Amino acid sequence: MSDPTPAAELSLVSGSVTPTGRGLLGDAWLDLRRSPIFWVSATLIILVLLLVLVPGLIADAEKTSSLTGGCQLSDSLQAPSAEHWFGTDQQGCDVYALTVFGARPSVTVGVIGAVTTTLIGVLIGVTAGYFGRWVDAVLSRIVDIFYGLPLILGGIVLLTAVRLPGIWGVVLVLTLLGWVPAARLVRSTTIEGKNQDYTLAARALGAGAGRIMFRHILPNAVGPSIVLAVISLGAFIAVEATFSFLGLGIQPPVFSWGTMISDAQSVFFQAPWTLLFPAAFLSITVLAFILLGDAVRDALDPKARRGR
Amino acid sequence: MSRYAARRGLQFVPVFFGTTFLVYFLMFALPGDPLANLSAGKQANPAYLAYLQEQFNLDDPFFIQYLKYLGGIFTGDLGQTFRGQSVAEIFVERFPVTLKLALTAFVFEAILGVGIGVWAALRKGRFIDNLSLAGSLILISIPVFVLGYVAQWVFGVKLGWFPVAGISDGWPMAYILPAIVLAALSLAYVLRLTRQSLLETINSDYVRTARAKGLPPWTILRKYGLRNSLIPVVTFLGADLAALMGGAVVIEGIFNVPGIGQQLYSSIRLGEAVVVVGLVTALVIIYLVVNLLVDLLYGVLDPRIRYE
Repeated sequence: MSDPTPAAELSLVSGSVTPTGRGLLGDAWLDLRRSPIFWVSATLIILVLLLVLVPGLIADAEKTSSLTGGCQLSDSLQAPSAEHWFGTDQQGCDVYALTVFGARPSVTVGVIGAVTTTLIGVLIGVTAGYFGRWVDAVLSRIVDIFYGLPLILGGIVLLTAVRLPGIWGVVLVLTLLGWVPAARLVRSTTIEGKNQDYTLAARALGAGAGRIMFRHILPNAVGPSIVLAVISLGAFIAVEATFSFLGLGIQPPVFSWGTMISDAQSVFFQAPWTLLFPAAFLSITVLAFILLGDAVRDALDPKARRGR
Repeated sequence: MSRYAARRGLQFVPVFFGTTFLVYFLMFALPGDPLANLSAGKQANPAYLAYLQEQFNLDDPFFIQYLKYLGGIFTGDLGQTFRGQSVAEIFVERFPVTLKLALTAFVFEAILGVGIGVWAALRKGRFIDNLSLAGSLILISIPVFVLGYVAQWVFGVKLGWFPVAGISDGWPMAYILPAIVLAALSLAYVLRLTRQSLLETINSDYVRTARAKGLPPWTILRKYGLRNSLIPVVTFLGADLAALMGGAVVIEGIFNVPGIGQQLYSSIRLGEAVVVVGLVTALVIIYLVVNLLVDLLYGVLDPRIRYE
């Protein structure tokens, strides 16, 4: 801060730059609380989580399946009305109920995918970055290879070969092919942190590789990794929908927003509501996670904070 | 330059073998009977099963299978469809359509993305800036197939500005709508990247000096602003050209554009795994080669990259 502007002095007074003992996450939280984007996205995500956790309170499960007698073929493709808020699909099922219950598989795939890819990426990234030399050379070539295979194309091949029931096929694809960005990110953070004075000091004091990696290097990667995980969560929900759209993702009797959109393809021109409502829920969910990721990144980045 | 080209070319070799191996591995090395997987649960006739056995050398150990398959790729043998048509022939026949679509999309992406990005950066904080930021966020969060159907419905069916599907109207009319939809996601990224990069440059000291010298704003933008801020944008565009060709699966399926993607789309639905794995392998190779060429081009354009 070679050029103290009035804004910087102000923030010194309010205490967000002086050492406060709150730590990075505490500071970030103070920042987040002031961000309207954070509140908007968090509210949207909480609403989506309600759909995921307690769909039964919001809609009637019976109306999602013709097995329970909730769907009547005579109700096929009705426009939105007081009885069917979002209209009905070809089987006469209530699109509102389907959309509410379709949230769980969609979001679950995203959450599991984000967690597994982050864990794998962190492990590979920190190993490559910390040990360097041949370990890095080998792991980096593997990263290059996976980087050369676009997620959708690789997923198409894998899902054509193995048709796992339910959500697990898509989860497998995301886990196998989605970890590359996290690995690249953590590797570069690790290389940066490896030669910092505090790391050297820890090593001089006799700390082992594991302790240095997990206590001294990885904390630097926590912020960016969280941001990446949140943004990928949104992206993975969209990827699930793409695979389901191609007929490769979630298989019946399980249904998600993606399979609903896929089923609506053939009747879209007659009954656009069958596609538009699940698509809107899907898009808003993805948007909410991207916005949350952006807000958290801004809050975690002390440089950006200084700039404001 | 030749040293850089040689180094970059050498890097390509392991990635090429690794990625094609990965595709093959995803298809064949997973649990389950490969024959059953290849015929996707259908009751295939014995003659076709025998053909599969031979085409993929399923009697040999896995690694030998891969090497023989690779040998097939080099001699232009990507397998055959159920009806005995050669996959390589299909590829050669359909690739020009995909290339045309991808290049049209690329033009939209580059011109609109950079153009609106520059405009937004110059009007930072004003209406057009906020509009483009919000618009790009929305484009990023709407899945591409939803955008495809909505565009088809609005501009094809309702307004009748463009043909609804197929390419009987020829280039450009039949390609405009699918190309815009294909470009939409990347366009949003290009726009944001251009805006951010140009904003950083505009606030730098040498631009301030240029302004203080009294140079006309247009000259400052052209000679000082754009030249330095477009480097990351060009990087992104280069990498994206290859991704556009792979990303055409969904778009070509929706708009019935008879390229590689549409073949892939219908082969997935028919369970023609041989075609799927052959076309994906070919697309991945193109992806890798285009990326290699773009990287080499960079060495020519930006001397700094050569000496890294």
